[in-house]
Amino acid sequence: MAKTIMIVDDSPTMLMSLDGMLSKAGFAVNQAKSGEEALASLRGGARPSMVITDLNMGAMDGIELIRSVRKLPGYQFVPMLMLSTESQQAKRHEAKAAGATGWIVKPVDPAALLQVIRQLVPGA
Amino acid sequence: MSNALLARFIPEARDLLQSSASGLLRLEKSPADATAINEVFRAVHTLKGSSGLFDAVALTRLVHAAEDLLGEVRSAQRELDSDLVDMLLDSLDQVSAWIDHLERHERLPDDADRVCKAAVGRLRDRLAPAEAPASSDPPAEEKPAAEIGWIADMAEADRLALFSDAARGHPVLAVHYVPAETCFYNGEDPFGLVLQVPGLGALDVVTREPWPPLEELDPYRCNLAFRLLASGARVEVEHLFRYVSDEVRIDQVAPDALIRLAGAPAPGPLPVVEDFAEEARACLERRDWAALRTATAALLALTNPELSTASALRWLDAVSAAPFPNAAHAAALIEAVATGEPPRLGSADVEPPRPVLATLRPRPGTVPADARDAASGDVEALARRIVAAQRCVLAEAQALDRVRAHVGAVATVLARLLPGRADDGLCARIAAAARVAETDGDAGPLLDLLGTLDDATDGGTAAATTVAPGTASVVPAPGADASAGEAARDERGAARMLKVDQAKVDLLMNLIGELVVSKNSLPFLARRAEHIHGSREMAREIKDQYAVIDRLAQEMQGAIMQVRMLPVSEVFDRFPRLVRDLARKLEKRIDLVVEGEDTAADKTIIEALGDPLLHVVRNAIDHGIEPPAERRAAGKPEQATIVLKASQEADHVAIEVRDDGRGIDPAKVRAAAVAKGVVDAGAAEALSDQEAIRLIFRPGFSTAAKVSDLSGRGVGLDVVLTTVEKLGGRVAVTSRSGEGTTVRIAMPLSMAVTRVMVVEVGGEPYGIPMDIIAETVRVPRERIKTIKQAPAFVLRDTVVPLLRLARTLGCGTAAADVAAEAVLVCRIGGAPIGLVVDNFREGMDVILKPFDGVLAGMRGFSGTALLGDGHVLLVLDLKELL
Amino acid sequence: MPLRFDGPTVRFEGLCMVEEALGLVEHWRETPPGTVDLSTCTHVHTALLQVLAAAAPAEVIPPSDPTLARFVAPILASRRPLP
Repeated sequence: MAKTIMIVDDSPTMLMSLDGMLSKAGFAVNQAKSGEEALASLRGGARPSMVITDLNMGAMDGIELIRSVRKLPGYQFVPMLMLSTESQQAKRHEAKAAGATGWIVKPVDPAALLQVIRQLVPGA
Repeated sequence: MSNALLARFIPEARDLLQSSASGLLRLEKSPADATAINEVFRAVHTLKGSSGLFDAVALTRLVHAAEDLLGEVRSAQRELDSDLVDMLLDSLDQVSAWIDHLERHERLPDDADRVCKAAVGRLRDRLAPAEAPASSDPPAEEKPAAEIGWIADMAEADRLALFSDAARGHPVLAVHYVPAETCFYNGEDPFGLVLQVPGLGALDVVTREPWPPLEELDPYRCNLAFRLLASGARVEVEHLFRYVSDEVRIDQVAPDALIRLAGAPAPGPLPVVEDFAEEARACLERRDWAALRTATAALLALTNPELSTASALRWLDAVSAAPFPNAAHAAALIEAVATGEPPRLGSADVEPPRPVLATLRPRPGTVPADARDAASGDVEALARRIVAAQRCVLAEAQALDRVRAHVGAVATVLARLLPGRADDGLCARIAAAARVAETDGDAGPLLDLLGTLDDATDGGTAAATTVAPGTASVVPAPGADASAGEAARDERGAARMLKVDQAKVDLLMNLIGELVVSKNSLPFLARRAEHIHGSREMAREIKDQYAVIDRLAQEMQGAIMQVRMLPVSEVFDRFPRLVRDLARKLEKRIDLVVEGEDTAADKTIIEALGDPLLHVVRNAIDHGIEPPAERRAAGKPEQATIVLKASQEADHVAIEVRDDGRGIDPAKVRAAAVAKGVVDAGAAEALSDQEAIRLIFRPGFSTAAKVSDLSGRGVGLDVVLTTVEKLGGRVAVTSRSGEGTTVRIAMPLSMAVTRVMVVEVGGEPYGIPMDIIAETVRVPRERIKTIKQAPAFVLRDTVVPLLRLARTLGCGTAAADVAAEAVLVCRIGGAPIGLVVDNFREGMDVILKPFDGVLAGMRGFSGTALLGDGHVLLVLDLKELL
Repeated sequence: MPLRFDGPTVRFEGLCMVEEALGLVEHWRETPPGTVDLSTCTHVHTALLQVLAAAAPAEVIPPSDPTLARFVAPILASRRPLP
């Protein structure tokens, strides 16, 4: 059964690009255009094997999303990655403190992304 | 995929550029607006991220430089002044031009790198001088490998195997990993991670605290710590643990550190040991390793494996079996066997300390990567030279087929050099390639990767993509949820938006157009049923069905029109910037007020509105608004106001451009118009003041005393009038001298379907747009008079000049001897005119298709339409025709 | 269900994830641990392994995957405290 990865980004281009990489690697992809949408989807019973979220988003940023997801019953342990750039190293620590598992550097290299997913999602 | 991706990116990039620019303008007005700076920063940041997906390095770099500046503004390190806004806006303009180029050519223009360099240079000049890179901390104090005590806790068999690996050139790493107690709540699985350590050769697990009884055990508090030995490449191990780097300590272990004897000391000297020691020393003297191994094996067979002597013999065998056995180690082990003491291996060849993982990475919150690069350009150059040197070494080794002997050193150098300079993914790929080189002896992949690294202008690798034209623009679809299941799962109340390819909407529009036209064939069919087949009943049924289809088609058309509706903000959004720039240039102070930007109209209308509005607004700034001094003298506030307002009125969208400038002086307009020969003096005098003001729309008119480079580009406001009227719109201007001017443009909400009246001229049908037809009348011949050598008739006290369309179109007239002429009364430019036609026929909705190809230049026709009976209808453009 | 409880015997099957750990602890609080069969499991989360280490069941049938078996063993034996 294909593992589902949830991707959260307010950039349609990034969503499309990530979706392309993940679908090609055989993952089912659950897209969300904002933190709010992601939370609604998770509350509604989406059970992704991993959540990948952008850092800079509109009302709710990636770190806040990660913090909120960790409070949702059933999602304390799900691996979560944050998309960040080289210049946002301080944010990575903040994200880890909020419950992130790790981060992916933009622009996203498909091989590196898949490697991280395989590293963090058993059976992927 | 990349084509679709680029098509997705272009509209997104334009949106982001637009919001950055408008945010900057807001910031300029109120620099303390935290929301605005965050918005701008976020937009620019997102743009940088998305642009990295394409082969547009120059674009990404420029955006990056802008982002850095904005970052300083955001962290209050820098004030945003107008010059800085200018500079940032210029950069955004450049990016915008590149986006246009990307859309058309799928790549950046050839001069992009040069342009980028200059623009980035300008931005960087404004950047705070980058601090010297935080002096790299001395490598964290590291225990020499020999002091890692826990190595002895590892199973001897594991250590022997690792020693054998080490002897064959695979350095051994000691990893000490103490996961955070709360690590499970970060989605971590420490054991899962440990299992993935490349070359994992030995594992020992200890606890933070003794295990409590099950009643007190919290299974989600990690109580374990891992100690392991591995023979994988250091970069790969560091990469694996990069998310938990501060919980991990990685040391390289000298092979002799693995040599620790296990087992109990022998109770007393063993009888044969002396003989063995003698023989072994002799073998060692001769460097006869095979003989040494034979002797060792012989004694081992006689020795209790539980004793430390047996352990020493096993190690002696391992040392002797190495490709290049270490004589000192062998000697020490022989003595250990002889004396029963632990071997004295010495520490001379303990590997020098190496920095731990954490210190390889720039510490968080110090200096942005690029600022650091800027300040330490020479360090970067050095790094580049080092990479180049590694390539040379590898290439030579490859040529001599001695890759394995050298790749370890190369990998080590790269592992120290790259983290922080190249992205994690690249580091991982280089590590993997190094491993391929180590195992297969083929350095090709590694050389290739180093090549890209050497070529890349900055650390990251731009994902190379070939991209194809993306012509889509964005159409927001007020979407109802397509699937009910989705709706149930989705708690949000917000409408879902679809981004739909423009071409698809256009296709829908064309299809509904064809449907409307096909539907129009039903009345023809009804007529045939009645007249040719004599079935009145069938004719009525067809007409009934026609009514139903007609209604559905109209509703469908309305729905599709809705999809094509865009808010006027699409055009309005460019004006804050334009007004600001022009005002600064002309040293005027202008406040632009935008109202009703949500008003929507058909995309074609919205797009066509851009140029006329631009012209009107430019004109207002250039000619209408006075310089501050003049305004002060006139008792007005120095800051002028231009109001740009949109509203919907019935089936029209009205756009108003109102300024509080000096207004238009009718007397001056009359004089100018006469001087320029636009009208003669008599006609000018006969005009009312408001009519005189309208003269500014006449071709050849311009009130500007001198032609500025702003609005006076050799074209007058007549262009506005022509463009608007071509789309079925109207322009009105009102002005009060000294108080200001208002230009009002009214446009139809949509223009896709044109309602025409079909008339017959010379036996052929022609279409005439319904919106210019005032009425149809039959005029008895005797009422047609000749006034000033031209035929005319009087309609309700108005003299209406008559024109024979047959003559204008150059065709014969069918009915020469009729008692009354069929006259179509039209209003063109406000004046009535009567068109004499052979006959009136029905009104209908048609989809107007402009002429293309060789017919494109034909004047007098606005296009063709397909009729329900298959005929092609020529639709007249009376304004041009007459 | 990757964890199958059969009286004192617990069978781990396939991917055994972190969420199961609490259930395992609760099971063993009521039924003292007997045999643990890891033979058909392909992955065991750290949280589950530390429950095994703490509970010290009488018999553990190791995973049939030799690598997994080799490195699970030191966790089950983790008795020494961190120095």
